[in-house]
Amino acid sequence: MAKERLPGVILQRSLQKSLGTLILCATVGLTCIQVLFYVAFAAAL
Amino acid sequence: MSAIVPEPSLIGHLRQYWLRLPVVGPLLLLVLPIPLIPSIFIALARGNFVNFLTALTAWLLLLGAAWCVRRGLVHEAQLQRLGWSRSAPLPWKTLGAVAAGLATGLCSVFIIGQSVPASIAVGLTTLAGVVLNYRPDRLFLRARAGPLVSRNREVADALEEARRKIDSIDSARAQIRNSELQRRIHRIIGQAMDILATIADDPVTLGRARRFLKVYLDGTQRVIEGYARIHRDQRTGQLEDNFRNVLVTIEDTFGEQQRTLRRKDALDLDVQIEVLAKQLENEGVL
Repeated sequence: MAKERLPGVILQRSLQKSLGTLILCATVGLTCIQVLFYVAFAAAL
Repeated sequence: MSAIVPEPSLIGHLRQYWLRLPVVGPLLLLVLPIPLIPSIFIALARGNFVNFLTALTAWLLLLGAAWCVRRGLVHEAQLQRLGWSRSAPLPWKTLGAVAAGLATGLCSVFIIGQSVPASIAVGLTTLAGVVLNYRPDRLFLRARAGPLVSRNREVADALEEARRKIDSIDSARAQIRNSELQRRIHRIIGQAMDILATIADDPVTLGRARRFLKVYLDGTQRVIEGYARIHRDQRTGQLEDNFRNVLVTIEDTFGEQQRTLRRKDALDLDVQIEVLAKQLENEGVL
């Protein structure tokens, strides 16, 4: 039998993953949208 | 025979399937940079070279990050499931995180116009996000991976024997100076490793895959090693065509083998092996 993973470990891993996803979306996603905005409209502003 | 690795959950299955796909990588790192694609063309159309170059570099860096992270995930999955992996044990996920951080940092400085410290902060935050999302590299897995498959001696021996054959095929592949043939053999090796992973996950399939491990893999090894040996001395178009045909057949049949093993359906398996063995004989490579 494989070693059971403790619920605490699973919770910690889930929280880390959620935080990581949030940070990735916030940094990469927002930066890329900002880039599009600046490239497309910055000259017109 | 009892299973040595617990049955993966639905998400585990999906993750394994996702990692087996040849092209796609971590989804977020492929989807989030999509706005950069129109940015590249808009910058080009407006003649803004700095914006164009920065957006293009950032997009390529993010694609590179996705490739590195995917490689790290595949490497770990193979180590966990098979006890060995063909990828070099490099910190792939960390490399991917650095590439992603560099991409956002560059965009912040050169396009958005933020200060250098602020851009460094954005880059470091991205790096942390990638590491948190995809977990840090676990290079120590290599040392720990062995016992996972060795609990079942029969399976471990069969997998080890198959591993040696695949290693030989890989060495022979490196001697063939033809990128198209190399790619085909690379795909065949990937398929063979998938089949081994299926056996490691579900040892019951070993009985059904035994002829594959003995006849198929042996035949493939002999064909590829034989071609690599002849290829060194001479190059004939006819032989290359025959070899290509055999590789196509091996690729098709390996794929079918894997599907059959997954379906837990032994029907036709032996027939396919017979057909391949016959074809290898007819092509004069066995």
